[in-house]
Amino acid sequence: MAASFLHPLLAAGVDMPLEWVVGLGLALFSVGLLGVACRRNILIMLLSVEIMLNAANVVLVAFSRVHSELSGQVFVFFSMTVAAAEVAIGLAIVIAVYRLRQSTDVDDAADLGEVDYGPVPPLKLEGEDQHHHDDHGDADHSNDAGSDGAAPDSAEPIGAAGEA
Amino acid sequence: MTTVLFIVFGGMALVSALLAVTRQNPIASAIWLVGMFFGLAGVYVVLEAYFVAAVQVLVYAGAIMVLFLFVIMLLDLRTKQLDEEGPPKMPIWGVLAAVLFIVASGWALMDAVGTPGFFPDAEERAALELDGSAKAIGADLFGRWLLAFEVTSILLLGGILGAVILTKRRLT
Repeated sequence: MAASFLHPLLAAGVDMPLEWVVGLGLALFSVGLLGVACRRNILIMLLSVEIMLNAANVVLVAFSRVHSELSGQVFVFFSMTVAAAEVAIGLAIVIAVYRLRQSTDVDDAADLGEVDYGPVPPLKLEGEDQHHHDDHGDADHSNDAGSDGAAPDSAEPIGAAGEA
Repeated sequence: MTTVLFIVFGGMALVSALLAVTRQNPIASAIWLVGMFFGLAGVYVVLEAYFVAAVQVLVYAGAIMVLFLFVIMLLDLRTKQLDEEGPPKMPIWGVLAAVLFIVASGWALMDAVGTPGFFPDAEERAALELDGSAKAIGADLFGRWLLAFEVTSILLLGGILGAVILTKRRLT
């Protein structure tokens, strides 16, 4: 069946072989796999994961048609929700890693062991005024006022930040 | 007719995805990925999954890509630094893994196509009826899948909390 608002040429319904759609999903998944396996930029790796999730969505919609069953399309919404949560967490990790290593290359973050990288450098925004949002309290204020990152109270490694 | 449209939109999605994973600049990657999302939305329309197509554009091309671009711009990666790195290196084992996947899964797909009754043939497809409208999907989502829908909200809550905790500078 076809919706009435569509062009008459589309009104004949889906007359294409559905296995092609599954093939498209497999090809897209392969492209995403290529991105995750080959690229070292953490942002592009996350984008590749998105491609793989979309490939799964394509296959879900294709089989929803094959079996004339709407659940496949409902599952696409759950998949999109998972993708949204994954992107939010993934990008938060990207920001945390970038703050620590000043890099988006995963090889620079290969070392998650007990290494002391010194104080956490703040995320530098372009054109950000040094004093312009100081609503964190006095500890941050003293850091901003010229005593740079080497001050003893700010030279804690990440692990100790929780107790501070 | 739908065959031609599928080839156009599916090809657009596939080419955009390939370009997205081979760009050096993450912003170029993200923009190409928008092309892939629109191509897939076209594929969904061809498959008469109209509501899924609309949500694909709204959620993926709208919300998720904006979040991506926002973070890429926030990180302020210098294009000069990217130029020094040159074109992305594609390790041969990674390409091999992708090729191996497409060969193996294509083989399985061929096997399924060869199995009678696995995919509907032309006259069976003409008889298939599926309403992909918002009304039908809403009835299914808030009927049969209501529990899963509610559990999804817990997942999203976890996502919000995780994002806030991970990006906080210090936990006090």
